[in-house]
Amino acid sequence: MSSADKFLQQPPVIKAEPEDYLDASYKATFSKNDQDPYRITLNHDLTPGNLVQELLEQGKAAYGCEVISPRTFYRELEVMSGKDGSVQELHLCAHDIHLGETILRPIVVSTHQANIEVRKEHGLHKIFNGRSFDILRGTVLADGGYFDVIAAESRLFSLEENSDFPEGTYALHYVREPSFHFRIYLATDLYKNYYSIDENTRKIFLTGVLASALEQIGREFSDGDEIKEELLEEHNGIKQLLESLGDGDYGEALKDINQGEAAKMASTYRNIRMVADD
Amino acid sequence: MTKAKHSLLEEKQGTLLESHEERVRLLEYFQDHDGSDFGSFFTDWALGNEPKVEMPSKEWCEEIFRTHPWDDSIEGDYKLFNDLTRYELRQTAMWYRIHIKMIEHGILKSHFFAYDKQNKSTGLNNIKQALSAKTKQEEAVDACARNILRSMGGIPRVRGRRTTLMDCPTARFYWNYKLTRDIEEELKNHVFDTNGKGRSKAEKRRTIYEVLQQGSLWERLVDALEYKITIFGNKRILAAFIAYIIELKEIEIFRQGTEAAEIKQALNNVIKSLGPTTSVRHLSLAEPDEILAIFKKVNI
Repeated sequence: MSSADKFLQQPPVIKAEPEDYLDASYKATFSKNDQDPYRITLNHDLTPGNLVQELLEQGKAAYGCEVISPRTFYRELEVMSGKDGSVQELHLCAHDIHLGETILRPIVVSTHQANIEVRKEHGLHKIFNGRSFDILRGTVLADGGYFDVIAAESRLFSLEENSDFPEGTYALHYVREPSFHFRIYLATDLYKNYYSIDENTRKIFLTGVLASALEQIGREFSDGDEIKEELLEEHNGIKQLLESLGDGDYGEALKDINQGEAAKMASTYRNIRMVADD
Repeated sequence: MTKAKHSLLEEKQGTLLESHEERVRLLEYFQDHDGSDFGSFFTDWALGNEPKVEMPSKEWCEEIFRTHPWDDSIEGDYKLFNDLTRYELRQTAMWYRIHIKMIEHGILKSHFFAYDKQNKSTGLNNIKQALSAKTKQEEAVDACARNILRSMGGIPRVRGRRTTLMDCPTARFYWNYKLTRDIEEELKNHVFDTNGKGRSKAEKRRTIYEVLQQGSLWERLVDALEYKITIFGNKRILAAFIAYIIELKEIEIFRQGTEAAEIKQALNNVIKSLGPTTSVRHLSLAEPDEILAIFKKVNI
């Protein structure tokens, strides 16, 4: 059997961009619960008119999310019931996971064994026409990729295009409500090229963004030497960011920011996650 | 900038291990001090508050501390740690705090911590021998001090993240029994013996616990969980792997003398087979026996 034949016998997978399928796509978005960081709402977004959607409707597949917490040796899949639509409420267990290092992987999995004869309405690339393949319980039919829980649930930073900006310019705005959040407005040319610029250039850009954001956080969450503890408790994403910058001590991080160390701290921080606005 | 608590612990361990006088002070302290003020030695280690751990009704003898063999109190001993999270129970500093509490409550003797995995001599004898060694005293004291620091909760600076589960006997007991419970639950419909003879829940648990206790398997498994493959964190996949190891032992694939190497080979082969499989299929939806059948295709 040729490697091409082997490839075509593998069950096709829908991802964010069409690959095996002609124009189907699958992605998931997250929103946090401000009162409880362990509760996350997951919206599974699968385009209609394809094999996976058909299997979901037939009750032979289900939306699910894998919760991976490597530091606590925890990796379990939470599968939705077929009747629950496409919105999944995740109740992560504080006893089992370490939120700061937990990864989510939204997927669609088969819940039944089946042999699939490919039909045109399955939406697959024409090279699959006339072929068949087997799916087993657990076969991954759509893969939403891996997400850091803290980035997913806090979404501290987001990108937005602003066509009014002159070429090559950007601005950082912060939003207080409903949760503290930084929005980076990019001129159209920067926005279009953002994901294709080289990593080093992007890192330099993000370092500047983070330094500005940290200075803003310093002003918002402390008053002189006094930390606004209650406000910090309300904004878990900020607290987690400060803890990671302060080796576990958010107070030290705030102190350093207020002593003019924001740029230095930003230049050594490696984990900033950028999420495009929906 | 203030370092995190565990980093301070590492600094303190480093300082202690760099000085012969400090190591002698440690040994003398663990030889002579027990009781309610035992924790004063660690006052400036910033280990944190007293942990929410229940104390057992009876003190533990040195053998229980070292190996925690299967007995009727094992379930109760496991439940002592119910109020702590998995993450807390992975931390070196937490195990230091737990052990300090157990010593201060008279459950453990401080000199137990000087035991050496390589010999059967008691911790107290090891301290005495090290302190009175006529030759190579520095080496003997250094080895004994390292044993104490390891069994208190580990030495992350030397041994990395694996140190807690590999070097600290109480952490090892807790995680071994926790995984045993999870695995037994997953394997409740699996027939263990190749002759089809059934086993009770307790018998199954004991078999799993004793298989996991085996040094060569435990250390390979911890290494895999920590550094190689997160999928072993999935209860069902781990359960199928342990069922696989039990079967290999039953049919005597493993030979005395080369068993450690064969276990390593079996684990490596399973890891290799899991990589490509788990990218296209989430095996946790398969029955444990089906996963076991996948593992059986692996040649060792």
